[in-house]
Amino acid sequence: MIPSKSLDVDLELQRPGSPRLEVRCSISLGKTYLLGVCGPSGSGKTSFLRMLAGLLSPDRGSIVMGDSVWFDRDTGIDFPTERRAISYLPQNVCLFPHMTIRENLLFAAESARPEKKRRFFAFSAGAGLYGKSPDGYAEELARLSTLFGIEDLMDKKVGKISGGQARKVALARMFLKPCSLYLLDEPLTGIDPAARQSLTGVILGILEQTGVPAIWVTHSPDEVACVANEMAEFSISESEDRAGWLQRTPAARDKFFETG
Amino acid sequence: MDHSALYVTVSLSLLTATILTVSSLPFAWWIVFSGSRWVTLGEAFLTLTLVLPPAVLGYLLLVVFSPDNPFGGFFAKVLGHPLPFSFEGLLVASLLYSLPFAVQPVAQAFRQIPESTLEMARLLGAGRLKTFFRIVVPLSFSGLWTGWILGFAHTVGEFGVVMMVGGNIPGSTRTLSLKAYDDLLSMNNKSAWESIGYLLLFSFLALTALNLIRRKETPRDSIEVTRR
Repeated sequence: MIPSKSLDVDLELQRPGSPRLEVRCSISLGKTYLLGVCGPSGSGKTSFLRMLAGLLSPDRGSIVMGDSVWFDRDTGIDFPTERRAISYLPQNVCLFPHMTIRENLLFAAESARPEKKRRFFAFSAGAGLYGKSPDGYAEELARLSTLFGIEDLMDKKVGKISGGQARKVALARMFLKPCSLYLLDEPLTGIDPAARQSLTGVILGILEQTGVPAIWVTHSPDEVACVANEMAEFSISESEDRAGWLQRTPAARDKFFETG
Repeated sequence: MDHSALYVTVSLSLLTATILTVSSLPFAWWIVFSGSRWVTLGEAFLTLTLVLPPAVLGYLLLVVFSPDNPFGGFFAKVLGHPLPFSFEGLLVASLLYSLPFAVQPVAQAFRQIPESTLEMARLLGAGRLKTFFRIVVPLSFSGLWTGWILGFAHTVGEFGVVMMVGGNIPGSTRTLSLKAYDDLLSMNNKSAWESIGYLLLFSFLALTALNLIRRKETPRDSIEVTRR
């Protein structure tokens, strides 16, 4: 049997004023896989995502993505965020205020460019050059903007759209960035309850189609539990001064899913 | 009517402001984003000419510009003439004199960009250069313009430094402010008022431009989107 590539995480982080955070898990890559994450505030869910994204450095441990080591405290490896093949949608949406919606989306799509070309475009300051979608992003952009219902917003400036619309734009942007792992931090915040289900369906459809694994943090586990392959329950242990999530051993998990 | 003083002042100020604004980009980037421990020292150097009396600065520059000094000697060789009492000497002096006025607004603008915005750029695969030119600089345009206008206006109003370093030579180092001074001393009021008129005009234009920038800046609703 060829061992499938996986994301192996073994992290420890001491946060000032909070219990020590520990996370250990293993996620198979290259096939659709949704890990739902829930747990009380302060249990380290967002810190976990930030460590995977490279925005936060663990005190100890390692993150191994398939064949490449993204982080290893022992050998001193720490891939910068921009080199990690992740696409992260944080809780605060953060669209670039000086750009239109289209330009925001194109910014994400550009990371698909080969390295050399990217250098050149780094110097093209200002958005003027990206009025027309270069290199066939137009198709992808159109597809995703229709899926999320934001086609009418494309030429609007970021300041002119509502919170819910901004979140949909951020979702579309997230899926425009090519990557090996999606990280969603409460993606449906600010979306009205009626639209939540359809949006969940859209996201799942895209995940299914791209076959890229995703980690979905949510405060409402029911939203995700029925569609996730696995649920991670982050917890805080006051007595042991520990927080985090330790996954069942891979062997047990595979067995679980065979019957499930 | 001899307009050489006007020409000297305007060309000196335009050059100073433009050179400073362009160089403020790497300088302000270094101060705000590099995290180097030399930053405090760098900022102190930056604000030095803010507090140094112009006459002292002028004197120090004369010493450094002298052809016997390595710095002054180098320039004398390159230019073919010594720095003191030349337009090039005035330019170098103005660059140092107006440096804090041009760089500080830029650094301030860089500092105001939310950390989350910069993180987002990195999350979307942008390296440092791309983040700087596509995100940081466009979001700091008002700071860059403010720096340029302040650099320009401050250079227009220079007096002590240009007097000492320039030598007040009509046609090459005699600025409007020096001409006004000369005219007042020689009781040539009509001519003095002309120079003063230009100086007032520049000040007024600068202040108006700064106010326009401030006015355009206040609807900061767009930045609030990031807080959702």
